[in-house]
Amino acid sequence: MFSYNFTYELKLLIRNRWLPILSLLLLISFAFATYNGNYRTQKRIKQIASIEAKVLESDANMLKLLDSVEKGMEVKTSSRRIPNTPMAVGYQHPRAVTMHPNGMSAIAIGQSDIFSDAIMPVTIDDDFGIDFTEMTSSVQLLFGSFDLTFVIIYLLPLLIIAFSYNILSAEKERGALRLLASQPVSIYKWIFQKMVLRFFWLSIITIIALILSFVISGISIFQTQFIWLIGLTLVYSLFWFSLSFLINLTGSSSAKSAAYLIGLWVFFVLLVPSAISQIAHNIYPTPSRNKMVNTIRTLKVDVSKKQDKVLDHYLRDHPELVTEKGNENYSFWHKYMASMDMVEQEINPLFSLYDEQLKGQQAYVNKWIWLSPSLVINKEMNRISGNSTTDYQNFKTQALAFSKHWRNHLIFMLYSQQPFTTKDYDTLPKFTYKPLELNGIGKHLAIEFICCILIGISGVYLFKKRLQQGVAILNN
Amino acid sequence: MIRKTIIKELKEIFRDGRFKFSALLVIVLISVAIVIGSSQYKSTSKQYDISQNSEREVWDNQGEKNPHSAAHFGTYVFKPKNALALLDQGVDKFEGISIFLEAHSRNEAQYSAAGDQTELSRFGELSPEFILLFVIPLLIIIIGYNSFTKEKEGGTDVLLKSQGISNLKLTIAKLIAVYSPVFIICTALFLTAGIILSSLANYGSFSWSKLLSLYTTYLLYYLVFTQIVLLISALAKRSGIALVSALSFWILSCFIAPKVAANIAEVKYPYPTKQEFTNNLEDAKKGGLSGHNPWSKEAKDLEDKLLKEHNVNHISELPFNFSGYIMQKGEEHEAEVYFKAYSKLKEQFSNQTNTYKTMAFISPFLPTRFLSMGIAGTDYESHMSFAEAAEDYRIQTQKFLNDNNMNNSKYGERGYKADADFWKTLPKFSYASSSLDAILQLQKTNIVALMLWTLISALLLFISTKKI
Repeated sequence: MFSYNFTYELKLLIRNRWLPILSLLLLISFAFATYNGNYRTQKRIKQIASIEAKVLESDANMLKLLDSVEKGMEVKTSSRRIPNTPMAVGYQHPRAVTMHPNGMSAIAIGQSDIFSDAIMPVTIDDDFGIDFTEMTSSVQLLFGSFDLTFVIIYLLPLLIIAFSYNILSAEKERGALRLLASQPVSIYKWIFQKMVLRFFWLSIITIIALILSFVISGISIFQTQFIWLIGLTLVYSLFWFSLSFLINLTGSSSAKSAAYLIGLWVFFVLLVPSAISQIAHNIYPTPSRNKMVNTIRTLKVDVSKKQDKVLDHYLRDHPELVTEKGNENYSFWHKYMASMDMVEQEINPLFSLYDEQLKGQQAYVNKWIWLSPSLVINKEMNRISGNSTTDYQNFKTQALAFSKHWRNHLIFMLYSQQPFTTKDYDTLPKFTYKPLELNGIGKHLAIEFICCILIGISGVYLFKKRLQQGVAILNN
Repeated sequence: MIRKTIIKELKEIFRDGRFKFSALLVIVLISVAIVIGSSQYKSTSKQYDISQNSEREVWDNQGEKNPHSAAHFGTYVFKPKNALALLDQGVDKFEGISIFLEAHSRNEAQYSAAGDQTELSRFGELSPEFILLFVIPLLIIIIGYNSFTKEKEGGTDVLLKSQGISNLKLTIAKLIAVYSPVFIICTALFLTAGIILSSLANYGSFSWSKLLSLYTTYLLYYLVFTQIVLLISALAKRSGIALVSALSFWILSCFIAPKVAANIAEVKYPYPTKQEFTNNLEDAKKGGLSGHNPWSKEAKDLEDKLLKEHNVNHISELPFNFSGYIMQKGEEHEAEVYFKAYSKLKEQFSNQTNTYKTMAFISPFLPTRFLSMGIAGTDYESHMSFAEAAEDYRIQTQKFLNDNNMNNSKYGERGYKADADFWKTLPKFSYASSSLDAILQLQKTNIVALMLWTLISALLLFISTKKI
């Protein structure tokens, strides 16, 4: 019976042009989405390359100047621009602090349109002075991007619904169900076979469309993460097929089945995510940024009033920096860096509150993620792409730590009254981004898969119960 | 006959469980959204007043200080929240809320709300605009998808015709019946919002005429949806097909079209990256006058020109302090550089806007989206107008400070300090959102697009129902 069903189904799908339409729709959406994601990735790679080139150029310039100064030659640059003092280096020759997009970055724009992945912190930048925002048109941020995450999470379920909402009802409405009832096959097995076949065809088309889209955009498919992407897409499709199977088994009319399935789509894709996001934001509200600005300003004024004492305080906290030559050797920079340190120490608790609230929101979201498979897939795709909020938070933490390291390295030289020489160039700190580890995807996939099976089983259970109660599937 | 048909249709709609459930859901969601929104609006407005005053206090009480030190110390301006943002937040969430105004640099607005939220917030929020723009059209589909198909499926179309009703009257009756529940919900909603907003203590920016324009925009948007849903129902043979087609239209115009438009706009007219923008600015600044570099060629040229003009041999003989003068000239050059860079950015944005306008003809969502946030004062243009007002104020402040330096300090004097009371004489920053007329003028294309959608969908509906 299975082989009959298979042939019949395939003929049906080809005859009513479902397979070619579905293939075309999927291919166009996947290819366009991958193109958009890749466009963004390339833009970022270009930006990072240009920053790195800029640093190389500025370093070459610095070394040339230093060499001339060390050889006692005259240089035609204003004295404060000559890189023979640690502060001039720290201010004028910053390092490139960048996060290279990974090989799968194109699958999700994530937060990459809001945050920058390339900054150049200088010694006078404090934690709240470094701007991590990217320059994107806010209308574009509002509308979001047509990327693979959008296609897979929003559109793929709709295609599945359109592809399977009326499997039983169409047969019934056409009258073919009566013919089928005379065959020795139970209805749910027959629907199950039809579903499996449709899932099978959709999977084949999805895999081919994904491979083609990647190849067209010039992204390698030979990466482990690509297999994860396919796994996520297929399990997510399976979820929608199992829902559709459940709804089909209720024996409702085509219109009712479609309405129920769309209701579920609105629930899982639109309502649950926005409700969870809203609740997370209400439980862990962001403190007013305006208030933060006020606090920092007042603090800076206070510190500047205590300017004379600031340096003493600073040196009391950092005895290793005290020089033997006494206070008269302390310049503007000494005082500046000392007061910056003081402001930072006072403001850090307030400043870290924002990160804590964001972490709180993220933890809350992670806790409720299981309410909707769309959330799980969204999270995993964002993680694979390396463009999630957590990735950008990770970059920010590392970048701030580096900025502090850069500053301290040069402050130490400032206090030890050392001039900056060509030899010191090699000891300058360098930044390397350490990406987050990608684990647990397999576990999440397995849980999703079990959910699909449970939905399927409950469908069959309900159907059998209805049969036992004597509800006639053929007539209503 | 029309009256009877309307009554019959309404009875059927109100009897339907799906309608009851969805309408209830819409009302509950929007009530929650408005309650949360208005309390947030209240606290944001309060904080805005506090911040504005506190910052001014910091500025006023700087004590004796060199004016250029004060210029570097700078000041912050804060973006006021528009009252109608309660109904449509537009791009507000993605734009910064305060701008640091200092010497030599035009800074971007900082601290967008989106930057403090998880990526999930990009899925959307349960905000009034989400309900108004996405959910109510869905409600229209649920109410109206089977308006004509149910008659065909139940065979009642023949019965109806035997009663002597004309197709035109039948269509009008169905249109009124499907539209009226949405009309009632929308009216109640706007009325509630108006009452809440006008009762808030600080409703300076609230205007009933803007609210009325917003209300009209949404009524038109819903009329377009109702007409299209009925058109689909009239053309389809089965309810299932009608529903799936209407939903496809909804998804295409509300979800797919905006994203596709955004991507096309970005690829065709890309924004520079932050680094690119900053680098270009630095390069442009390098080639010109700087108040901190009196040794440059440009500074020397300026000096020579000035000496000739005043017929003196040395800058110390000028009737004002040259250092203040060059600082101001440098500031003017830098302001010019920023003006050019931002004009270019603005031009790119207006090219992008044209792309959205072109796409408006395949999606009634797009003109509505832009019109709605335009009227609410939460669109990019409003943000830009705030940023420009802040920049004008920055330029004005720099001149105010440099003039003091120029006219009161002496040549070569290093420790000059302005009086402690001087800071208070700087005029306060004030910004008012655009008037309704100006907004509607700016939104002309979107208004035309929405009108065309209304007319064309009505025309198609009445033509297609002529022969059912």
